[in-house]
Amino acid sequence: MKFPKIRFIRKRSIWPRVILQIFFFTLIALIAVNHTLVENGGGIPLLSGATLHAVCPFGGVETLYKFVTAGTFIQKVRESSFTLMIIVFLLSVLFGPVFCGWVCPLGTVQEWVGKLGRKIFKSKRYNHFIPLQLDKALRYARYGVLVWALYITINSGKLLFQEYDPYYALFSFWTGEVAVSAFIILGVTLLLSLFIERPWCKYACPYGALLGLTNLFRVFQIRRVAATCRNDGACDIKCPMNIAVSEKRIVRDHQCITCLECTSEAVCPVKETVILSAGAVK
Amino acid sequence: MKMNSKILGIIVLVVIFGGIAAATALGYWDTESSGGGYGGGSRPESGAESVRGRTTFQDLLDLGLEQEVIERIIGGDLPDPSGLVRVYCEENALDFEVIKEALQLELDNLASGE
Repeated sequence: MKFPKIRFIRKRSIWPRVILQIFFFTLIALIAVNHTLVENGGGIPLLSGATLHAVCPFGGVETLYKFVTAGTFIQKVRESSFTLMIIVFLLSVLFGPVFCGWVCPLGTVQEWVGKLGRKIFKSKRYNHFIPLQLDKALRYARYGVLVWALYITINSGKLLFQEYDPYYALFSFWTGEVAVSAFIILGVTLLLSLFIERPWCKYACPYGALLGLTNLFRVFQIRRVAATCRNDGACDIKCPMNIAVSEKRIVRDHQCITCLECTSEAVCPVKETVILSAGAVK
Repeated sequence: MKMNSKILGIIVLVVIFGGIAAATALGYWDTESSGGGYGGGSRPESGAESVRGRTTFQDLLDLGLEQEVIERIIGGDLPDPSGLVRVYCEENALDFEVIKEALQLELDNLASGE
């Protein structure tokens, strides 16, 4: 991807998203800590002592096969995971993978580490280290991870993906129950986040792969109004998922996370040019 | 119809927490057990005690679980009854969550008279 020369990139960001990311990160971290406290006979009043699996919607996806065939859930997956899966799917049908961009704490942590990387390598270099063709091919790897995660779960009837899950490692590292492989994957993810924005989301996240498919038919889509677009490429540079927004009228890329960083509310300097909308823009 | 980030943020919160509230009201929200199916079938409403981190083997025996059942679940002889189940799992490289669920299922069945 070649970018036209632009004088500066507007540093405005989507603050409601930042607030929600901090909120959900804090909430999940507190629930994870509280679960340990409850297990030890304590606990924070008024806060759920649920396990991490109980508040992860991907657990619902992993148990789907067992639920359909046997009417029960696999070990560790709770009814709440199943309900969350349905809620997140509804949100995704409306707005695409907004869960990834606004809620998922692992995505948030990668973004926070990425801010450091952006400072080191500056906006134009950061997130553009991998050759375009290779990057494009690697992005389909997460579908392989999705198929594999479902296969090992269906085959064993257990949450074996936990052994490799960086999300589980991040919020359970103090429990002594995290596999070395999960720690390694978390470490690699955080290290790569210094060079690439959201590497886990782009190349390996099985849930992101599934939710990403809703970009093909979501109700509210990111639209670019070609008539007012200055083609300065600012949206392309700012997009954490490296989508060439300036080349599209409607962003249907399977990697879009609806972060809105490309829109006229954030980086796009022209009002009402890149927007989130349902239906055609007049 | 256009949508800005503030409205989207509010919708995300409303859908997630509204969905959880609705699921709770309808009996589709259980974070404790994975034993059964969907929609209030996860745990019998039997008043059975919960297995927690501070539960000892003696507690399980006092609740009516037979020694053989406990030994089958933990895959070994019953240890010192005053010991915590959680600590036993940690010492024997067992997944406490899995053991806890199996014990809980037995307790639930016991309480519901199965």
